[in-house]
Amino acid sequence: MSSLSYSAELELANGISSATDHELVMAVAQGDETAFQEIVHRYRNQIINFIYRMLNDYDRATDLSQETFLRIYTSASRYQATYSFSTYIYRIAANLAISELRQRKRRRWVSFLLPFRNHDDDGDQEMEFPDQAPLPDELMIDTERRKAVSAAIQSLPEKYRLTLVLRDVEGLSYEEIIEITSLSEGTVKSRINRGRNLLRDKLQKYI
Amino acid sequence: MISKEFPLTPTGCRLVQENLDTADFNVVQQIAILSHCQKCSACQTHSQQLTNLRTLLMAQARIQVPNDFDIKLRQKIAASKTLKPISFWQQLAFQPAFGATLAATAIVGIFVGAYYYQQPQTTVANNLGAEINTTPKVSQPYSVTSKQIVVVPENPSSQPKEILQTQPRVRAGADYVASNQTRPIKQPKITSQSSRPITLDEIDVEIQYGNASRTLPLSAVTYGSRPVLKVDNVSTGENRSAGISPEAKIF
Repeated sequence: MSSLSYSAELELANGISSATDHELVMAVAQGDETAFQEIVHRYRNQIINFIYRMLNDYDRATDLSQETFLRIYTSASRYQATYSFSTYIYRIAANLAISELRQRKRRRWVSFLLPFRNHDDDGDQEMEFPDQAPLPDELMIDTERRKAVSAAIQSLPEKYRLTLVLRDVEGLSYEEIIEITSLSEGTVKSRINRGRNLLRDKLQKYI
Repeated sequence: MISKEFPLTPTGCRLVQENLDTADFNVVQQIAILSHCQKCSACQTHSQQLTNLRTLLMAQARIQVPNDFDIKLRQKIAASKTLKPISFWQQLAFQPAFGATLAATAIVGIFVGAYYYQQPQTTVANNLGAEINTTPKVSQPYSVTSKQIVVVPENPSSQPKEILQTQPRVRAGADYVASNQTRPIKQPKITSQSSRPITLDEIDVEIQYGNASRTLPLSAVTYGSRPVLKVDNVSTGENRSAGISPEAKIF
């Protein structure tokens, strides 16, 4: 790479950035690190946000996002372009997030120390975001609303949470959600609808 | 047509509310939903709340990727290249259910082992005419009292007919003490040493087939798995089992 001229590097970079996801995965399968870097660059924001909405834990969301990309890297040669790459990567991330939620449920069940835990140290705390609102009142209301929405999402049963986050937070289409979850169209519609009804009841104050 | 698709009934409202978000799949359905909502205030409110809810969810602030995300990812990739793949058995060993299953199996094994330890098995003979291998002699004496009984299976119909025809007879020393099914053992008449406890090997079983018969020590009569003949000492709980192998096919 270092032997290439600046224009050649630029051309290569442009080529990578204009390549389709499928082309990039094919290149990764052949050991192309630049292609992998481009995939990470394209999807890291979406994946980390998706996992964060599922878990409400920033550090774990970061870990599992990296795990998602690691799996893409190690199994690139086995990737089959039967459906889109975005569906494929969301599917891996969703499986990891669900697996984490189930492990947490088990851990919570066996933890004798849970009643004595200091909730200030809890990893499930809502992240603090940088100040952007100009007025303290607005900021307070905004923060409160954000926390309420986050808590309401976390209170949803896992099956409703997944479909709802994919649809209403990540903005994926129904076809994509059907592919990611391997559920029927009717089930996806029904779960999203039930999840929304639950959220609507919890967030009545804000809508 | 429109009112037919989504009537102003609870079912119609439910269908509208479920399909509000997906109405763009189908223009005709979209028109039907809009028409329903114009007439139905509940669905109108639901539609408005759904829009507000989606706006609220979409407005959730996006978190930022940490600065060291790529570096840590590279480190993980490098580490994964050096790691040996975990075998199936290693994965299994770390499963939470594995330990519990192992413990349960061990407990069941102990019970089963204890059960069979109390019932020493005799070896199985191919037929009664052939040489019969016996288990080592049991030195534990079994005192035959009036409480002891000879038990033939309670449900004889479950046994092969041939075995029911055997009419096992039990005797202590030279005297028969029982000759039929589920009949209590009588006090054995042991003329020489009437009061001494007798051992199991002193109880013989005579098996009759046709005009012929064969007498064997109880401990030498072999059986596959289920006992045909059982000697119980009710007072001590000790028991020995023997029987005739169904595989012998002597009848």
